[in-house]
Amino acid sequence: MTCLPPELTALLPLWFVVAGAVVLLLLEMFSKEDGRKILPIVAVTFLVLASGSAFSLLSRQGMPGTLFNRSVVVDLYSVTLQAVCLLSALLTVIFSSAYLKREKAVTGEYYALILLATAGMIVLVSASEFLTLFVGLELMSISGYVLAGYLRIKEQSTEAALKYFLNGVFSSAFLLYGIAILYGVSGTTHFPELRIFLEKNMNTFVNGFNPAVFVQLGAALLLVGLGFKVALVPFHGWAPDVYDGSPAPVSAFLSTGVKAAAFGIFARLFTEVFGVPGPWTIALCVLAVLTMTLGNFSALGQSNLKRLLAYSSVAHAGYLAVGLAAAVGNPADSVERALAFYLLTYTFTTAGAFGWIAWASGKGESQNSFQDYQGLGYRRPWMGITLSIFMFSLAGMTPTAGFFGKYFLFKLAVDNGIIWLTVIAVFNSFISAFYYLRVVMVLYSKPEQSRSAVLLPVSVGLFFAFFLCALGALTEGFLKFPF
Amino acid sequence: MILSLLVGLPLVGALLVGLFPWEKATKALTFLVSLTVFIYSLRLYINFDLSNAGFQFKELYDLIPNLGIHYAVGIDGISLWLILLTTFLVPLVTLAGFRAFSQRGYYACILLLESAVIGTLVSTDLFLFYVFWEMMLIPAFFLIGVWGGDNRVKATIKFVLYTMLGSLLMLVALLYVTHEVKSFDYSKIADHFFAEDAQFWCFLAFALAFLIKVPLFPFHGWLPEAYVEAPAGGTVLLSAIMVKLGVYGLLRFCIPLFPDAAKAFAPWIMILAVVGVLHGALMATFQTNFKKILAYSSLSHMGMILLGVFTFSLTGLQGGVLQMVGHGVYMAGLFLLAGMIYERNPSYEMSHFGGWAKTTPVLAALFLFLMAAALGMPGLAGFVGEILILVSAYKANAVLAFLAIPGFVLSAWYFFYLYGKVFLGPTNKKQNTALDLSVREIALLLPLAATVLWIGLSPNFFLRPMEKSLQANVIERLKPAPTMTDFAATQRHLQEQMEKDKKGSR
Repeated sequence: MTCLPPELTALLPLWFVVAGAVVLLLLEMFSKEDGRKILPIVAVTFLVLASGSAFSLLSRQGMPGTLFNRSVVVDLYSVTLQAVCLLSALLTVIFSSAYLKREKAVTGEYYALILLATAGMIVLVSASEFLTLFVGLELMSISGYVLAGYLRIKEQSTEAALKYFLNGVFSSAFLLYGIAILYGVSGTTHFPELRIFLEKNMNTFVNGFNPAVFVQLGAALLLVGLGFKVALVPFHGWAPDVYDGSPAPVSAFLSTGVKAAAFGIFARLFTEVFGVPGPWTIALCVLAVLTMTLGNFSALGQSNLKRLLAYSSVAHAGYLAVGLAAAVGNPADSVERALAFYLLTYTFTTAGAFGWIAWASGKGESQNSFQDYQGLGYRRPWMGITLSIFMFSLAGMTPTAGFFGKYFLFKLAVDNGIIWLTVIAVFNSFISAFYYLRVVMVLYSKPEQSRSAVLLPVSVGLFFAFFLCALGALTEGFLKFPF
Repeated sequence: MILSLLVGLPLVGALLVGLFPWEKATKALTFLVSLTVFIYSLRLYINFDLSNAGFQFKELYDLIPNLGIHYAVGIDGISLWLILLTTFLVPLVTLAGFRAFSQRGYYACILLLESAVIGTLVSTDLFLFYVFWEMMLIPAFFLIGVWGGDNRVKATIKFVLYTMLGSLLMLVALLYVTHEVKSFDYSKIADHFFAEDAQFWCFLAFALAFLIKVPLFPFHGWLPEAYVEAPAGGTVLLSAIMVKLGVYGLLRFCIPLFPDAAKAFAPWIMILAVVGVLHGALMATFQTNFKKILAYSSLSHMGMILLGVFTFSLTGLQGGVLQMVGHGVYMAGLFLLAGMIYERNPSYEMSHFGGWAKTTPVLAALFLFLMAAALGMPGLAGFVGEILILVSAYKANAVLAFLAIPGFVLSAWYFFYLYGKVFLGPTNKKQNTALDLSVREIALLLPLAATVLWIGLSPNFFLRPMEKSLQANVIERLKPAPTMTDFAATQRHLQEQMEKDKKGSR
């Protein structure tokens, strides 16, 4: 290994994921109907290999740093986020395998698309330069559009795909405009160089014009574009319908992996590039307040578990935005650590909860309302406890990881002196406890009608996935985080 | 290692109970674990150094090194009795549930709750304290929400949301405090001087969390429903243990950390405490549901405890802490008896009862005994605490002390009314078949009755260990720190200190 160039070894997770996608597509072409059973196993194998290489990178002394002519950066932050995205993909594949069998829609493209999207995420979170960022983002998004509409006979799924696609393309345009303006004013697309430019020229006139105006315009466009991707209010319109309409395992993927990657690069931009005082701090504060409040209040009124999770996912973007808003003034690595921790926690719980829905909602996801889940906690005690753990963690109750995640984020805001934002965030988490705990209460209430939906059998894979999620949600706060 | 084992044993026990293959044996396993914890916890008293006012049995490990968060535990005279109260009550609560509950979840929740409560009492790191404090909610949530009565959903949600609202505001204050001091260590934070403004807001945020737990008068909305809907064991854990942690939090954090604000707020809290005493007593008088009477009487008594604590005198504080222990023991007994009555005739409405003293004489006698303790009968647990509280309250503010007295009169009224309705009068023919207490039930009530008598007869045994800690960790902190310019005051302060030391050495 030592003789290989660092370009090859440092991006090993990426190579494994891409290789997996190619192998899956070939297998799909050459295998018969009954040969498709091995598809998820192949996908899991490649994802495990990729995760393994990511972990070996994390445990290694010293990070490779920038590669490929400074267009990619492999540091602790990006590798941690790669691991989060790989975890999300792994869980999605496991949840999908029984789900797709039930819906009679097993194909190789599905798994290949998941792996391709994961490849996009890895590129995205490792980007150190705007064009690499854009390539990763599009690879991830385009695979996502197809996945959202994967059950094309189902009306909701098609609607979700269309909404996701139109909004996604629209937001990409914003992003590109932002990149173009920033390039125009600074002459570079490289993050550290742009930062140097910002520090030097924010308050001076260059060739008779003030670059600050253009930088702010570019940053605003980037904010809108990325705001669309991570579903910050008021750019969230697509999110509830997409998370609700997509097949449940895909919702797990879109609301965790995709969001984690987009937030990952969002955080890198607003700590390492725009980490200087500017109007973006107050803009992010406002976005955070809007997102938390709207997400939580909308989730309050839901009586459908999947839709509730969709809105809760919007609300969690708001908590993450609190951390971003507090980025200026805090050291970059503490902001990035808090966000990466939160994203990992959020992946365990939200992906786990969507997987739980895939398990419990019956054919065609027909039984998703609270009524359908009444008393399930008595009939399947362990699965009941599993969902309860996810809900407690999402509500941010100790000793689950959700609490630690919120603690680290809110700490950033307090350290920065934005106490009013913390108080609003805390009130939001109070409101969220109301609907998360209602879900738990539903599991342990007496059923009013007998339930007809057939629960999926808990296979070894599913057991492992739920166990991993629950264990992660319980113990992550006490483990040593990579950085 | 003692403290860590006390926190860890119930936690491991809960895991064991959850995974034990034979569900029927889980209750015995739980009883064994909790009994072991109790016997082990006696070592705390045996090895307790009476002359030491600070923290003892200290342990310190890194928890989250890059934020400076430690696993730091230790106890002083204030927490000692509350820990022993907890470990003493949990085996009895477990034993009381043997007939009514056979699911492993119920017992796992009891052990989880025990672990969280002990963790809260021993933490000397603010972050760790918060983690344990909030962790209590989850098992309590399940105990009420899964094994509670018919109206349990509303009761549970109310209970959890009330508590969470307080805790979350405390979290913001905690973030601020630890940001200012740059440490999570209790002693360091206690030595830090906060500006007046910061003290005001932080006191409010911390106090709200604790006062909701106690609960103080306007924040008690969750109490009646939660007490009534919870299963007997759950009510005991709530009323005898968890609400005491609210007072403990005030004593440990609110008052020593923000002394100036505490002094400014004390009159208001005392007024509200008296209102709570009267409100609880009046509400109890008008109930037809006897578990609600017990719930409201508990509210009234908690008001008394707060009244004593906020006099900031040694007598009042001692009375408050002693009353916490006493109230914990006799209320546990009364709620367990209420649960036993419910097992025999599933109702709490007093009109469904009558003449039980004839059919179940032992039950009636034990009820009367514990009730007498709750009334403040001299020689039993309730009396000493209440008299200490009243004396100190009289010294602090005579009007308030007099205003609280109708609470006692009313408590005699509603307790005897309850006793008369349930145990005396004509026998209701439908259920005069109720069996008297079984050996198991007598065995679990006798230790409670004995403790009630013990506290009543030799209160000094209980007061001695807490005296030094209350003096040093609460009262001393309330004295204004001598400033550098005020030389005379400094000298006077030092002289006083020396005299006190001399007295102590004699």
